[in-house]
Amino acid sequence: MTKYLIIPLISHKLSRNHPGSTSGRQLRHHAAPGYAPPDRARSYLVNDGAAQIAAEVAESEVFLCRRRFTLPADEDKEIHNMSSSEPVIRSRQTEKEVNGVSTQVVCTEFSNYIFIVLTQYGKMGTLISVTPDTRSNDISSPAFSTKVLLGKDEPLTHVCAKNLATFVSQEAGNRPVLMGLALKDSSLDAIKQMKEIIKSCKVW
Amino acid sequence: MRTCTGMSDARNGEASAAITVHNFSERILEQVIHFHVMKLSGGFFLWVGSSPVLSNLAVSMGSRYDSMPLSTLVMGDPSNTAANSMAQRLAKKTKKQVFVSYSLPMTDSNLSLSVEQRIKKELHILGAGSQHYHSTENNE
Repeated sequence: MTKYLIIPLISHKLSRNHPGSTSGRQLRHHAAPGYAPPDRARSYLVNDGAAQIAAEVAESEVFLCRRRFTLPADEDKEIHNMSSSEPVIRSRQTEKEVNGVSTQVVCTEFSNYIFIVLTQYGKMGTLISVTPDTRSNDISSPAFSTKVLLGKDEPLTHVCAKNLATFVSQEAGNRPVLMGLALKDSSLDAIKQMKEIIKSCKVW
Repeated sequence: MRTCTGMSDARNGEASAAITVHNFSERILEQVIHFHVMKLSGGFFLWVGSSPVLSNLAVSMGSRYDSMPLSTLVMGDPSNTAANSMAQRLAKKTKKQVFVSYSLPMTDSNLSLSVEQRIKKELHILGAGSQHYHSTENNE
């Protein structure tokens, strides 16, 4: 339950001192959706220019007060669900067929990593980190090191990961890439197609 | 063409479940905590943090040899056990393969408790749909 504070209505006083010009302007409600000013306020908001402006100010102030003085019922453990407009973690995903095998790609952006899941099994698969070598400062492209973090460490895994993630890292401002790779088909042609799929899920 | 792919997958004995991604946020103890869940086949990836940083990654899954799931830290500082313990608890509860990245300071135990409660609540909501799916499968 939230409690809110209502500022004494300024409009009430103004309407007495400035008998009004009948503007007939519709009052625009700036308050949060679902918020309705008390009936007492509305009766003073009709056909009086100054009162209307004052009412709008009063309304917005009431709105602000409601936000400022919201008291949670249980102060320690209030878990107030927020449906935020923009998720903090950006991600894009797609599903395409590569040589007849259904392939899913999910690209997720973190500030220090790009996380790519490329799977033909629906599971995370082998986790590989593709890290640019920070030592090279000249114009030539940096070297990349691949490390299998979880799963079978095979040369083919390193080759695929490097092929798929290098361009991502370069385009994402030299951020390391964390790859989840679960492939049924790791032929050169398939890898080329998967590269295009990753490009279509660009989040960097 | 999609149906054909589904049928060939079924022949191979694999579920062609689509990966789904969920983002939600919660205000816990005057902080806005963000959650990112990626639901996979037989498991999920969970990221918890206040800013979009991937600081660690733990993975956990149940085994038949131990009542407590196996858990390992794949990335990050080993002295921070938060991701590991959370992954273990979630793997035990959900009986799935769980990836957890926990990017919140460990200093407040009230915070981590509230965070975990919120995760359990959301997983219940997300898992309820898949449970129904599984039960339909069993009936068939």
